[in-house]
Amino acid sequence: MDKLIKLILIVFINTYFFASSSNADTSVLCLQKFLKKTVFVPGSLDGVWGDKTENSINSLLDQAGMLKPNQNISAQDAKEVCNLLHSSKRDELLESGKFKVFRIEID
Amino acid sequence: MLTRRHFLSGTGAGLFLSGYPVHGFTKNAIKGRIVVVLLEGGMDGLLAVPPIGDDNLFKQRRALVASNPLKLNPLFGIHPNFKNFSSMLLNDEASIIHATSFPYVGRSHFEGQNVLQGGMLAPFSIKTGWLGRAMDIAKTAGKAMSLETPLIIRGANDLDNFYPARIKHSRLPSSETLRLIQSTHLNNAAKVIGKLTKNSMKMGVVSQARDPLSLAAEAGRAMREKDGPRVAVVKIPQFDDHSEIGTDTGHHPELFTLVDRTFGKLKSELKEEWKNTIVLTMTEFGRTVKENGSAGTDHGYGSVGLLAGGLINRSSVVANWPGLSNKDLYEKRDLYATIDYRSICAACLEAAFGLDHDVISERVFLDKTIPRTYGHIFG
Repeated sequence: MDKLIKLILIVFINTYFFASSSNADTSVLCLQKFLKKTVFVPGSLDGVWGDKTENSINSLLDQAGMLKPNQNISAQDAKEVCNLLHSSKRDELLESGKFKVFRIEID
Repeated sequence: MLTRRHFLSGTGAGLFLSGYPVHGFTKNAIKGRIVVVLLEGGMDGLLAVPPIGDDNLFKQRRALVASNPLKLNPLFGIHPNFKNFSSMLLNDEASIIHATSFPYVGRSHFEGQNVLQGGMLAPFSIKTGWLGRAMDIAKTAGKAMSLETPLIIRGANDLDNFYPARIKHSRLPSSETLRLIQSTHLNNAAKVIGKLTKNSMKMGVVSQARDPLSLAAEAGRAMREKDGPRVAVVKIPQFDDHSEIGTDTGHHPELFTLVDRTFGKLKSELKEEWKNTIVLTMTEFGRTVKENGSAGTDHGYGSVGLLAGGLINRSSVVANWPGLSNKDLYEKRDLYATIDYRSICAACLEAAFGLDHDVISERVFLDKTIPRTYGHIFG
């Protein structure tokens, strides 16, 4: 019984702790934690740059009017964006991120 | 027998004008105008603005989705009867708030109407209305052009009332009232009243219980004057469709046309002042997501709010969409309201009266926690 518990613990630690920490990026985690406070949810807070994180951060910045035309934030921008999220723009971004705005696209 | 539904359908449309600048009281008359369109009975927001990009819409209420809604964006469409309003959306002078409600989860018309007019968390907890309190702060209180003063525009200051008899239909008996009286009589008395009702209908004088379009025109004409009222409340009743609600045609779609034409009439009559105006609809609650056994819907929770006016710069649908799968519904039956409609009213007050959001939050709604939505609607 003890062996079984040990085995489950080893599998759990390997899967959920070492695996994520090896891929985790503190800047990405910083973005994800901020997004979690808004309606632009990033998925799990794993510090890994994925589609959900990319879509969410781009949607938030776009809605707040902080993206240039055709600009797309990607993984290498994470540190710079993290600094932006903790600058004087923080409150403005948090207010903007409370509600989702769907633009009218009538042809 | 007088039933609750008869009573509700018998209460006619109405118009209430207020906030006339008063000599010696009004300081620096504000430029903005607010028109509140009260949709009494509970409008079906999912029929008016269907979330056509949500597959669960068709699973939950296949028979209650218009066959040709105008697609606004990948998630939302709008019922084709909103022709004027759709043009306003195209012209960046209208917006939609979806999955929204006042913080009232009961299903009583009377409590719900009181909450949306009083602006408090509990019904019957205050004797003034949120618009009246805002007028007090903005120093715009004045005369109310109405026979009675609805709660929403009651403030701390007494209002001077008057009602002009020249408004179309204002001196004529309404068919609904006659029907109401007839329902309380029997035999010959009922026959006589029934005949009177028929004759009045033949004369073509009672198309609606006091025509909301005539009232909207009157509001627009009055509000475009320099010293005209800053506030109007137009009531459109009869949304309480428990059976045969209609999809492409029918009772609810006919009411959509009426609401749409009210928006159109206000714009055409306000003329230059349209640019300083915000019109917003309010309804006491939405309706159930699934249809009931009578092809209608029952009292629900989340609904939709329609906003239009020159104070809007860019059209959009604002929604924290909760979803329509069974697990997403409020009490497994209603659209969840994820936006407190008081925050939308607060943004309209900020835009029209120029009041600070924190002042509106604390002194109009007596609640410091109301989020600011101004930037999402007027930014």
